[in-house]
This record gives sequence, structure tokens and C-alpha cells, in this order.
Amino acid sequence: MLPVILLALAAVVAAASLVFDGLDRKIRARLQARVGPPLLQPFYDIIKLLGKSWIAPRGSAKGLFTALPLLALAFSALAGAVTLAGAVGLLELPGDVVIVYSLLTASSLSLLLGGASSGNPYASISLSRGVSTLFAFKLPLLVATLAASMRGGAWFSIARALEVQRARGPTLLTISGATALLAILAGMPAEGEVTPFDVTTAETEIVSGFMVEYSGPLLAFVKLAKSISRFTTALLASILTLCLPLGNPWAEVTVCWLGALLIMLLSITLTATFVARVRVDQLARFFWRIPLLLSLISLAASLSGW
Amino acid sequence: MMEVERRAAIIPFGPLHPATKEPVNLVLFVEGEEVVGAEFRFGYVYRAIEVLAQRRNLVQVLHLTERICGICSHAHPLCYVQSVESIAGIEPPERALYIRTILAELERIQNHLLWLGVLGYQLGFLALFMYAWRIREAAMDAMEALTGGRVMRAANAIGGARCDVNEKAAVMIRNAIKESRKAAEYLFDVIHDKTVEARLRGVGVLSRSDAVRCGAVGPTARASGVKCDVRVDDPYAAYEQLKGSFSVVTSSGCDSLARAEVRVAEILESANILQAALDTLPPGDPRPKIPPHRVLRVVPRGESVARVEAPRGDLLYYAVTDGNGFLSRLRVRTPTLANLVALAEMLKGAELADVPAIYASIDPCIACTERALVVDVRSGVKREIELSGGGLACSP
Repeated sequence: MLPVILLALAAVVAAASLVFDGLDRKIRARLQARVGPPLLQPFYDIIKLLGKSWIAPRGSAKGLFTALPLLALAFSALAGAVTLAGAVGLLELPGDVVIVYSLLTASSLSLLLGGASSGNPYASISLSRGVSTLFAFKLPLLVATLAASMRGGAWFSIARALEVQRARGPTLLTISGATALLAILAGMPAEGEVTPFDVTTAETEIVSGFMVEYSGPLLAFVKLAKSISRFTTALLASILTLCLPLGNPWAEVTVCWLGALLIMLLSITLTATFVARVRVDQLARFFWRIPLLLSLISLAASLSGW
Repeated sequence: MMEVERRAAIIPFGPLHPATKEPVNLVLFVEGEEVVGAEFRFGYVYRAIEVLAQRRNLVQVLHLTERICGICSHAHPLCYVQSVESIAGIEPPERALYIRTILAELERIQNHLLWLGVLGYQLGFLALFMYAWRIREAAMDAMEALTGGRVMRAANAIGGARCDVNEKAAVMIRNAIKESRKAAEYLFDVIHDKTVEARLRGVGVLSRSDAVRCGAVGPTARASGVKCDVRVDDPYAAYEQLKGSFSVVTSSGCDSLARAEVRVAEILESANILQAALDTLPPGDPRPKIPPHRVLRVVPRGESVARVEAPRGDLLYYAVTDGNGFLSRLRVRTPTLANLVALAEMLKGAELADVPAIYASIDPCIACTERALVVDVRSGVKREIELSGGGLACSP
């Protein structure tokens, strides 16, 4: 039964992440004085791509090139499903926050490696940039998320973090929760690979990096995996810090859902509209300072019970 | 190719690449993320313009020159008519000279705004791209009101202008002046936004001596502190009469940020010129006194060089007429060709991530620059023309 439930929840998260993509594109267009695509355009894109033929470039490691996007999608979808299942009480895994994080990182790495196995020089640069980027932003993001999920002895369990918030109010109102959310907001554009932190896919520099050789259904999987990853990160942050005690787990999840949309709107849509892309060295310097500091403060505050 | 370059990874930028809007092959030798050498390969958009110019009569060539560049579609025919007028000794009416100036400055405004948008795109700053191009519409509308065309404006004629500033056009031009002044101040703040500045300051440095040595022109040279501007150094059209209304913008920054600053400031100066030109527009008929069919018989055998300050810099035409209404030689030296040598200099030691911003900073126009294609007649093999730090070279 569990696999079926997880599959259904993964589909829900995937649909929600694509709806956010549509919203993101529409709002960004309005901010730039454009009309923008229809809300459901990301769905149309995925459907169209799925109907195209499978192509692997000659000279690529075909097996890896084809398998890794699928693997990345599986990792992302599982991360999304576990997050949602934990939030609605269908699954109680000890330390599922850590599991979700590992899955998301595995998904990012799979995409980078899959791209690099195409043999394209732009994809290789993307891999080297991607690895330094992952080191830079994943640490503050991980520390902040762990800190937010430690409150009241929740110890990295989504279900218990929700229980703690039901009993004692949203974690956002604590010092550790507020600083953790700030660190996560800073890390979100890097997780979602949007400006200013889209160094791994920078179009004008390395022609969308690891995605350069992907087309058709494989590109659809890549896009879907990325989309689910960033939505799951936002959803997890929202669940860990913004849960309002409403009495019904589904109502609470809906509020968290809206919270996730708000997090994405602030950190991805608005940020990407008003800034230029940074360089890898600037990105690393940024994350090793403010977000890391914030996440460490959050950890310290969480350990001292603030 | 140097030995160090052989060890470096070769990253091709183009011929088809999102950062190079036109087909040019920029070969980068990269160690890690550092560019240790750069070469340009041309020949993808060669159109044989100079050969075509020798097979058409003087009036037809006017329309041909207009099609060399879509952005500088006033500067090219203007430079051409000036060279023919100087051979034939034709004096255009005073009003026509003012109209040429007005169009040249409107063109500069739209070019600089277009360039700023492209720079934004290169930096992943799409909002800047969208805003700059929207502001640009005011200048485009003014040109349309004045000439009837947005891109191919066909406003020049040998010995005059083919359009006149009527009431509607004057209103539109004044609107463009107002909008561009407002925009320039706003855009100055935008390029000094923290993230934009972080990507432009100290990037693509071209020292003053290098700018002079490489023969850089236009905003590229002026941003390196070289005070050169054909409008002041060798006035044409109505710039002699309007020289009190503007100043040459220079900067000592020498980097991509300085090149952006110079262009934004030039938008303001162009607005000043437009204002002065409209206020002192002389009365009369701007149309040529000699109709086109007679021009062909009037122009004697001769040669001349004409220069125009196109939005990208010093544009030079060398024309030789045969006395029968045709050209026996037309040579076009676009500002991009002059700036490409400087570009190779700027790229040395740059970060790979900065290449798009550096490449865009000289505002290259490749199709206008392509002048030669080397074909080995015996084998029929086309050879690429290469340009590296030292200058032009031909490779098999």
C-alpha cells in the first residue's frame, strides 16, 4: 500500500510544483511588463516534450546519460512524497528531514553527472561549477533545516516537528526558526537554479550547462526533477517553520502549502526579477558568510532552546 | 597558437551561442575558468556588400548601404551620401543637415538602449532587458513618425533628406527626449545596482594605452579615457552648428561598467542635441535640389573618405566613383572591426563567466563587419579569417 500512497503523493507534489512554475513565469512576466505564458504552460511543455523522441548524443555515455535524469526524478519525487506523507501523518520515519535532504542532494548530483556524461564541454564546466555551488549552498541550507527541525526534541522528524508546533506555535516565532527561514530563503534561488545563483545553467555563459544536450522526454524528466526539488525544499521549510495549529492535518498542510508558495515567491520570483547573475566565486563567498552565519546562529539558538 | 594555449581546454563560443547573437566563432582557451587566449573566426555572414556596391548605380547603393546594419541603418547611408556629396561638391540644404542630425541622435538613443538590454540579458538580468527595450520604443516611435519606417527608414538622399519634421514628428521627438532623459537617470541607478556592478566593475579592462594601440573607437575608446568623437573632431551634418549643446562623454574606468556608464550618459547628451536641433531647426525644404536620376550624371570621377560617429563609434567609408553614375570601389570600415582587436585584449585573463559581459561591452555587430572571404581558387576551399590578440590572420 505504501508505494501506491507515495506515488500518489509524488504526483500531487509534481503537479503543485508545475503550478508554481506557471505562477512564477506569469508573475515575473507581469513584473517585467510582459503578458507572460498561460498558467498551465509548464504542463503543456512537459506533455509536449514527452511526445518527442529519445536522443542521446553520439560519443556520450548513453546508459548514464539516459538513466541519471530518471534517477534524479525518482529521488526528487520520493523526497516530495516523503515530505508530504510525513506532514499528513501517513508516514512516520525517524529523521525523515535528513532523508529528504539526502534525496534532494542526490537528485542535483545525478542531474549534473548525467549532463556531464554527454561529453559536452559546457556540461563539464557545469559539473565543476555545480559541485562548488552544492558545497557552498547546501551546507547552510542543511544546517538551517536541521536546526528548525530540532525544536522541542523533534529531532529531524517532520511529524514530530509538526506536533511541537501544534503544541507551542509556529517555529518561525522562535529565534532559531526565524534565522533558519532567512538562511533557507537565501539558499532557495541556488536550489531552484534561478538568478542570481543559476551559475550551473547560465544560458549566456555555458548554454544552460548540464541541460545542454538533453531534449525530448529526458529534458522533461530533468525539468520535472528540478521543479519538484525546489518545491520540496520550500514545502519542507514551510512545514518546519510555518505550521499553524488548526486541528486538521490536511488544513495545516494546505496552510504550509501556501507558505511554501510564499517562500518561493519571495526567494525565487522576486529575486530573479531584480538582480543579475553572480559568478561562482561570488556565490561561494556569499554563502560562506551570511547564510552560513544565519544557519549557525539558528543551530545554536535551537540547541539552547530559543 | 602558443604552447600554453595547446594545453588549455578549448571552449567554442559560437558560431551559434546564446551570448553571440550573430554567427561568429569565438574560440576561447580556458584553464579552469580563466581565459588564457582568444581567437575570432569570421566568414559565416559574409554578404559581399562591397562587390554588390560596384554593380549598382549610386542611388541604388544608397539603399544597399542602409541594409548593411539594422541598428545603424541611418549612420551607414549618411556616411555614404557624405562621401558622394563631397566628390560631387553638392551642398545639401541646411534643414536636411539638421534632420540627418536628429535621426542620427535618435538612432544613438535606440542603439544604446538596445545595447543596455542585451547587456542585461548577458548578465541574466532579464528585467533590465525588458525595461530598456520598452523605453527604446519612444525613440523608435519618433523615428517612425519622422520617416515612416522603424528600421529601414530611407531618410537619406544624395544632396538632402527624404523626410521633414512636421508637427506630429516634432511632438514625438520631444516625447522621446523626455522619455530618454527620464530613462537615462533611472538606468544609471540600475547599472549601479549591487549585483550588476559586481559583474561589471574591473571586468574586461582596456587601459588607455591599449585602447590607443588597438585603435579602439566610439564608446569603447571613450570609456578608456580616449577623447575621440567624430561629431567634435571632424563635424558633419549639423554638429558644427550644434557643438555648444553637447559634450563628449569619457570615463577613466576602462572596464565594462565604464562602457555602460558612457553609453547611458551619451543617451542624455543625445537628448540635449535633439533638443537643440529642434529648437534651432532652420526653415526651408530639406529635399535634394538635384533629383536622383540627374545625380547619376552630375557626380564626376573621384574618390573621397567620409566619417560618421555611428552609435558604436567611428564609421568610415571610402568611395571611388567612375563618373558614369557607378562606383568602382566602396570600402566600409565599421566600428566593430576597429574594436575587435581591443576585445581580444580585454578577454585575456578574464573569467569564463565574464566573457559574455565583455563580448557585449563593445557592442559588436558582426554582419556589418564581415568584409572578406578567402577562397583558394585552385581547390575551391574557403578559409577562415582569424583574429587573435596580434591582428588579422588567415588559417587554412
